[in-house]
Amino acid sequence: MKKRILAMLLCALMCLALLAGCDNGGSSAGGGSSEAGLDGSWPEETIKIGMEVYDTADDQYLAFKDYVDYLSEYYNIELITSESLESPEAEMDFIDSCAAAGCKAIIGYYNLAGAEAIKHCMDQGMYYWGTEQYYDDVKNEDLYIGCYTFIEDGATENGDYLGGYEMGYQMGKSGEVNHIFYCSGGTAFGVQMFLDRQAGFEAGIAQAQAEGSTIKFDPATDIIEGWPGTDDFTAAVGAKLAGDYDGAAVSFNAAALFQPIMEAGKAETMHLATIGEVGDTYKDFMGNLISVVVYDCEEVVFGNAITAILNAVTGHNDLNKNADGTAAKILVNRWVVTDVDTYNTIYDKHAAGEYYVSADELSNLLGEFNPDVTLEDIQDFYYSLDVSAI
Amino acid sequence: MKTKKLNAKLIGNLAPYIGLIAVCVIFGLLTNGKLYSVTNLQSLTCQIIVTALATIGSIFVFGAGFFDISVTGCICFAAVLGGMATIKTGSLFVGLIVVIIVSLAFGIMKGVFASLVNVPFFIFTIVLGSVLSAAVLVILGSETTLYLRNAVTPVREFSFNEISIINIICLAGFFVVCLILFNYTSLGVKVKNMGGNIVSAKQSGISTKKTTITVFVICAIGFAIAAFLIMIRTRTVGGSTASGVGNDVMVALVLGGMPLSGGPKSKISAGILGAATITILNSGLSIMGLDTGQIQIFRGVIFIVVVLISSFSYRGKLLPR
Repeated sequence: MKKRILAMLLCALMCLALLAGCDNGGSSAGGGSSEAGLDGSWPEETIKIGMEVYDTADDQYLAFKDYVDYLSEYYNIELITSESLESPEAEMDFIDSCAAAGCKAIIGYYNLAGAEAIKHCMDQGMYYWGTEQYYDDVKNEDLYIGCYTFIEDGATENGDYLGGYEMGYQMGKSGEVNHIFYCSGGTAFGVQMFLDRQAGFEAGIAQAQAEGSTIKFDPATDIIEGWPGTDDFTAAVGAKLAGDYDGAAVSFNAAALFQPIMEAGKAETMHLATIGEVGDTYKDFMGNLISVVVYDCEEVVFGNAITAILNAVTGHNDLNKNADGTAAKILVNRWVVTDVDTYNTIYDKHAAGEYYVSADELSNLLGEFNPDVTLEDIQDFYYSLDVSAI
Repeated sequence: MKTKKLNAKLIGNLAPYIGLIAVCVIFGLLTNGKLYSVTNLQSLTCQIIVTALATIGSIFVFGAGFFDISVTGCICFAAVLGGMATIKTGSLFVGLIVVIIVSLAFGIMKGVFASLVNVPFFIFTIVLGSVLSAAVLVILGSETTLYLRNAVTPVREFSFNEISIINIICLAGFFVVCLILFNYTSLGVKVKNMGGNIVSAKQSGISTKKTTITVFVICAIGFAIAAFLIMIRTRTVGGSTASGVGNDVMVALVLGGMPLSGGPKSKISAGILGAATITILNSGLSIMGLDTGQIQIFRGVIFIVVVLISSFSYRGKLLPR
């Protein structure tokens, strides 16, 4: 009995220790000085923002979380993120929990239940930002405050297509790759984003060839389906690396190919293209093994969510609306990083806790600080941020 | 000495209740009462319902000594076919019928396999779960998600209040029926005997084959209701529908104070208690706005504490198999 009591006491101590360590950071500490005089005390009430996440270990999500942490030193905002969402009902549960926690808005970084999740969020009185694929279903709703887009007006291709296109086109244009294979991820399973990326990749290769590139790619023989972790994938990659291929484009995290390439002794001759992050994963490989990274800069692509939310909750929701009252899309660029210097410039800036959209710059986009700002100003600002400008 | 043993047994029996009350009180305080706002209480019924229905149904299966880890696959498959039927016909009733038929078919199939085929049952359910998940992807083809709003005729939308009422009625109804079957009929006695020791159950004259099929059918009814409620709440079905329910069921069983090996210590209340505990725990942690890492650590510690205390009532007292 004594042992049991001791065990219970120890467990109770563990719980207490854990609770003592849990600080949900209700109010943010004041940050550094700022031209706008931002010290983390505005808005007066902490703006809680829920964020739907598909993988809490994902580099892009973590980078965006770092950006919001940085902003929270200047603005009174708090980010509540979901665990890795597995199902539509888990997504609904998270939205409910956010409403109970007093969140003002949800960032749809991931969406499983489609427009139903957006409507559920709005039924709970919260603003919703994101998920362009359901834009037409909710664009007229007052609480829907827009999303980012990679697609210019009139264009038919979506962001995933354009990402795939850049991989194919840049690899072809580089002149360093003779024969390339493509890892298609979820294409065989009918996952739309992977279907679009593959279609874009093939179009990018075709365009490069039309411009004189001699790169070889045959969709019938040069595509590996599925993801790493299966025997089929490992065998297919091994077979390709044993052949004459000197290039690979990967529609998911390219790190899965590092080891097979090393084992095949082709680290010096292979060139990789991927849709990925500027972070630690690729840093040591950029410029030698990795030739192209199609990168969505977090503070640009997703950071405009914070602008939209802060404007919405402070009585300036008109800055999120087009003239016809529909929610505005923010056109942003995918950054195509093809050289190590550019990669390191972005990496070093982020590592130093600096961003391409600083807290000061953000304040210029807020109606509360800049009464003259218009939706067009916001759209122009984000569109102007391109890799060529850094 | 005897008093100490009785005290330990009492603590063990009360552990799930103590755990639930503790979670309710602690998170009520930590969230400044937000956990118990009217809206969140309604939302909690939605969050509890799927885990509770699947867990209550699974108590019959686990109680009889069968370790079933195809829960997610079965619910997902039934929901997807039900969703497709609803979209094709525009009728939720047709969708409900399809969900029930599919779910019962799998229940009977599992029951027949468990009673007739001499292969470790959990291996069969591992394979079944994988096959069903893959089958869903094949059925969906190029679609990843099906939306009820795309039905040939508009499918009725239920308001938050209506969904809450439907949830409570379904859960209460299924729970009462299962409570009666498990505690006040010979079926419950047979299930516990089989879970305790199947050889002695057979020697006691229990028709293990018949009982096995019956428990899987009852479980399938719980899965069917869960699948249908997911469908009308989210109005979407797809390959990710019900993901995580399988794990939640096992966690809920343990938090509810039931040994996963089944047997005489199985109790139907474990379904409600466990599902409520894990749901309130998850909701409270989310409302507090903790980091994912903190949430996982905290949940793990709570889990260990409740399991440790619950084990006082049955540890070392199981019959040898």
